Amino acid sequence: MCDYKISDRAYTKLIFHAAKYPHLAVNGLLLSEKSTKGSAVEIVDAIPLFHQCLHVTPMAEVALMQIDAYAEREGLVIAGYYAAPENFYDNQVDKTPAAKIADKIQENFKNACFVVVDNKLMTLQHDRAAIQVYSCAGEPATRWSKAKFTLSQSSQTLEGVSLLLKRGAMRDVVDFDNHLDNPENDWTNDFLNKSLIDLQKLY
Amino acid sequence: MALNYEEMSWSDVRDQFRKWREETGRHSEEVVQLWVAVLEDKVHKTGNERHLILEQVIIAALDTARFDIATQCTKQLALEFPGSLRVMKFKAMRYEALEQYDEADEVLDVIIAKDETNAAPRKRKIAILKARGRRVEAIKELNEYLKKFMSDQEAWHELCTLYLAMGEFGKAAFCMEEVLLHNPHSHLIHQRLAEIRYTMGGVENVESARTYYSQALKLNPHNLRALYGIYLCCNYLANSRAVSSKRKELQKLAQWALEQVSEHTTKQSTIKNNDKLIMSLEAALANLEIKSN
Repeated sequence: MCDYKISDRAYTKLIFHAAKYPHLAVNGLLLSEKSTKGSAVEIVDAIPLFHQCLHVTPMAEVALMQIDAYAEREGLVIAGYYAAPENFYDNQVDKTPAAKIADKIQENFKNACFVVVDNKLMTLQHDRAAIQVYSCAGEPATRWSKAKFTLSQSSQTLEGVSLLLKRGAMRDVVDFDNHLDNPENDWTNDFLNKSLIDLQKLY
Repeated sequence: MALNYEEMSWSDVRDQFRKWREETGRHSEEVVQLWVAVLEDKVHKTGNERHLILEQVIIAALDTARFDIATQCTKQLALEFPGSLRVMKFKAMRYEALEQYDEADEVLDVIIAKDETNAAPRKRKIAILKARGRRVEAIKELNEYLKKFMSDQEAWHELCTLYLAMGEFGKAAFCMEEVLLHNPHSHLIHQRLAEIRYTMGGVENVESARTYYSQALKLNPHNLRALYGIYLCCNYLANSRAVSSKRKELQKLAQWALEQVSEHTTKQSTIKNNDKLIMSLEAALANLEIKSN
């Protein structure tokens, strides 16, 4: 059982993805540095995957393989999975779509985390991080149980994300589905890799 | 898609609304913003389309919790069509948006009682069940509905999504096949059916998936998902088939599909070395298989 630290970049991308498609379930992957420092796992980036038909597997397989190669290249590793349930009131792990992907990730990375977006906390003003983090406890790991997490520079991140949401910045985030519709779309969301302060200047 | 509200005239907005109506996309926030910015004052100029536009705005306003706009537009419609069941449906939708589901159900029951052949209120009742999280009941009601209204492809599509969420892939495939009957030339439906079949797994299903993906590709040579799909299916079949001649053929097809993907993607992609990422599929395919069997 370990603690997780979520960077502002990862938090921003995953919240933007959920906010871009408020009426759909969305999911995506979380990446962390390959070499872990200390006992906490630091999630540094998020790759949004799909917003349509999360329950079918072929494109998920394609995406996972490509993102694995991408992570390898960037010195990162796939360390988690996030998903936002379709129904407003669903916020448990078993109601979250495509949880099998999380299980698969956990097989390859023991300390993988499962982040469920808490729909009730998804507002234009984030006072608290709108997510719940779970990890697998015990050996052999079978169930997902609640884990502790911290958001890096919590108050600044929440302020920054709230401001950008109000300005409609989430419309520009790109997920793997967007890329499959048009290869010009960059699923690494390189433009969002600036600091939150720089992003605020753009919108 | 960023729309420039200052530059759009009311006729541009009207045309955009018409386009969205025909495509049945869900652009609620944009509809409301355009309505408030441009069309609201000029809607009387739109002639016969006015009522369709008002309906579109009511639904968009309810979707984005702008109850003031929704009530105002509903009142306009009610004035012109007093006692209309179609307008009454919006009254029920308003309750639904406010999460007063019991009141909404009551209004819908009244509409159904007055007109048994009216499909819309029945579908709203099923939508309410879905919103309340009662998925199993929603599936049951939707099945009952489809026994009476067999050619409603929107309903078949919805039933397919519900079955997929429950993991009943076989039944989902059946529903999607019904949608395909109504849209035999849609590459998207072929592709979706292929995805469901591939997810079900097993040689027969993956072969079926391959034919659907091929058909999708024939209908739209730029369908990237179909190309990836053909690659995945051929790989799966090549690994499971015993006959060596078939295996060679499948491997050749897989190779072609992957090269097509690489070509189409790297031409436009802004990601560094995207082709290397795609080629990684070849290496990694053995390790990662997420199937629900």
